[in-house]
Amino acid sequence: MRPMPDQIEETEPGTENEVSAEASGAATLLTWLFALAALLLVPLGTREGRRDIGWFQEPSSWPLIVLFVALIGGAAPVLRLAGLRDRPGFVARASVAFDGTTSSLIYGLTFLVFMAAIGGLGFSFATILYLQLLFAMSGLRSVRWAGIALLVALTIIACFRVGLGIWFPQPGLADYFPGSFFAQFGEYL
Amino acid sequence: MIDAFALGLAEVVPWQVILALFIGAIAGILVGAIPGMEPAGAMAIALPITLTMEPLSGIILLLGCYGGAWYGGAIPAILIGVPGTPVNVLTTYDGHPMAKKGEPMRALSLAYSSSFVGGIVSILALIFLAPVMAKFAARFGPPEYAMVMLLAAVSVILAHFHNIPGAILTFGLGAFLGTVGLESPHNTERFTFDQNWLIGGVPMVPMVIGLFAMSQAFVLLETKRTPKGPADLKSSGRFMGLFEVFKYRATVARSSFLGVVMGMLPGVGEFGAQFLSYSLARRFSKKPAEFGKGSPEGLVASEVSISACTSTTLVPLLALGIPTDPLMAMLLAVFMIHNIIPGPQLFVEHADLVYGLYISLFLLNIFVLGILLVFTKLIVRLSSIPPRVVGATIMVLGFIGTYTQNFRITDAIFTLVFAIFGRFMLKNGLPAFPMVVGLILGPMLEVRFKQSMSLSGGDPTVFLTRPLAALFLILAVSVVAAFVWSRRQPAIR
Repeated sequence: MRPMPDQIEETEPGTENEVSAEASGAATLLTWLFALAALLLVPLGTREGRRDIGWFQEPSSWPLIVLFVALIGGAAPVLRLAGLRDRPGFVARASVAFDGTTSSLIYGLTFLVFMAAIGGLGFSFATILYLQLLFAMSGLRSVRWAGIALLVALTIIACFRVGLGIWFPQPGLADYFPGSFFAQFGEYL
Repeated sequence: MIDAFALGLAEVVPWQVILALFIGAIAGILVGAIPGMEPAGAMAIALPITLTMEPLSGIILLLGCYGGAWYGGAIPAILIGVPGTPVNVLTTYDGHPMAKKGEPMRALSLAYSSSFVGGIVSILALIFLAPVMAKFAARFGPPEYAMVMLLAAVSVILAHFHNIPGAILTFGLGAFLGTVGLESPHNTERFTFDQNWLIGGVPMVPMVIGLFAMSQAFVLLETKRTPKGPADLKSSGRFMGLFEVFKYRATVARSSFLGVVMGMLPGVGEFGAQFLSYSLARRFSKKPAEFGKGSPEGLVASEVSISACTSTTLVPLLALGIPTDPLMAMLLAVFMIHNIIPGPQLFVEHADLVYGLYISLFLLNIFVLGILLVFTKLIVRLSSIPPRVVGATIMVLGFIGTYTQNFRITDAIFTLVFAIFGRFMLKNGLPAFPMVVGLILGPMLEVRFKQSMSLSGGDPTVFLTRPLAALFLILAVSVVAAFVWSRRQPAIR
């Protein structure tokens, strides 16, 4: 039987599965290091104020305050992680934190390709191709799914490009067509 | 008041507003009914479109996406045991067992009517509380505002009690990202490294879409299991549970009260309200053993408290001009684009808009309830759309939402970075919500802090010598102290 709400203690809403202390600690450590890097960047990323109107008005003051708070407040799991180092299987459990990152990066890469394709092919063609690619990559590979992907793409194009008339710069593809073609159909591409 | 009400009515009459109400209601229901879509992400995608509309139309469209989602989220929660939005998790506890016992329509109509009652109570509370708080806030100066924001930040962090260090860390990082771009009063650039595209700072919408929509899309694209739709859903009994909600008057009253109060607390909102409401309903119920096995009272407690939050979350925004979460920040963007400044003066200068908003919220609840009662069978089918299809669609919609904000490709790159980081956070239980709140509240707090210190000639005791500022500071410290004390209790025992 599942626990009642007052018995639930340690679950972040929306978290996929149970997270081990090592994985959670590793993720916090990475974020903490990012905050530390930002802190080290403060002298390079800010300039001195043009006139002396108090330390609190200095451009670097507020970033320093919030980053100090973040680093001190977020230090506990990092320290706890150091204490877990000697546990057997530490590395394996900690590395679980990065599961799924590769697929995120791959999907991210396809997103960049999609953005580049919009510049070259125009929004409509790029969307049709991108959805076909995403369906295929996620394992939805059949004529039926290709048809559904096309239908989804056409619905999006009809709503946003045709219906709402969202503007996109003229695609590179336009160079290969006569001007009259784009005068007539350019707004749908 | 009657004059203001009439003015408000005139604001609602135009067809554009009615259309926005309908589209908002439908969009919200769909967002809730399709597991994997998040209201925050959906609102962020819709935001650029709403910026081109009249203020009331834009606001009500966004509120439709938000409020309608809680109603719609009950559908998959009850029928397939998968919460439509993370907030509907407790609806699965009793709604799904009721459906399995052969009472899906009773459970659905009970959930709808519970949400409706909660929604109406919430609007009434908003009408009463917002002007009172606005009058109170008229006495605020920079130190008071700074301390209210500090209290809001503390509330958001403590709401993530399962990972407080993570919440502080992500809030601080969000506040740091809020410092990127031009600062005042020196007008120097911070962390731009001579890149023009960073001068405007880190934009909120790409961050919200990345953290709440696209990161979820990555997960959905990897989800091979398709939720199985309900085998048989008879239309008969559609109105069966509709009036049953009034059998549980004490639970309705308690859950409404909790929803109204917790809706106003930044970061606490629907999650805190429903968990507390459900626990208390079980404690005071005559049949506590039925909770979790198909108790109608449990379903009522959960749904009433969720919807009772929806309108009172607007109180800090309307009365103080402080957006305490990403959803309110998006509404603030709609206000600002039309040169309407929320805060105490809003109730004087734009009474027509405020009353129009109240009336629209009433209508929104009625529209949502009507649509659900008529089209439930149709909407139910959406709950079993394969997650991979939803994920792929979100990827494209996420791009559209990001790009149409400023028509800049760099914004889409921000989205991508936040999506990858958001997926990483989601996987490892690091809260994303405080990061967005940090991005929103951080710069506002910085401005008020600097103003306060300038007023006092650099003397930080200004936060203690002004009674209201001191009161808020003491409140913030007390909340932290009470939290620490309550966490230590079990350990001591």
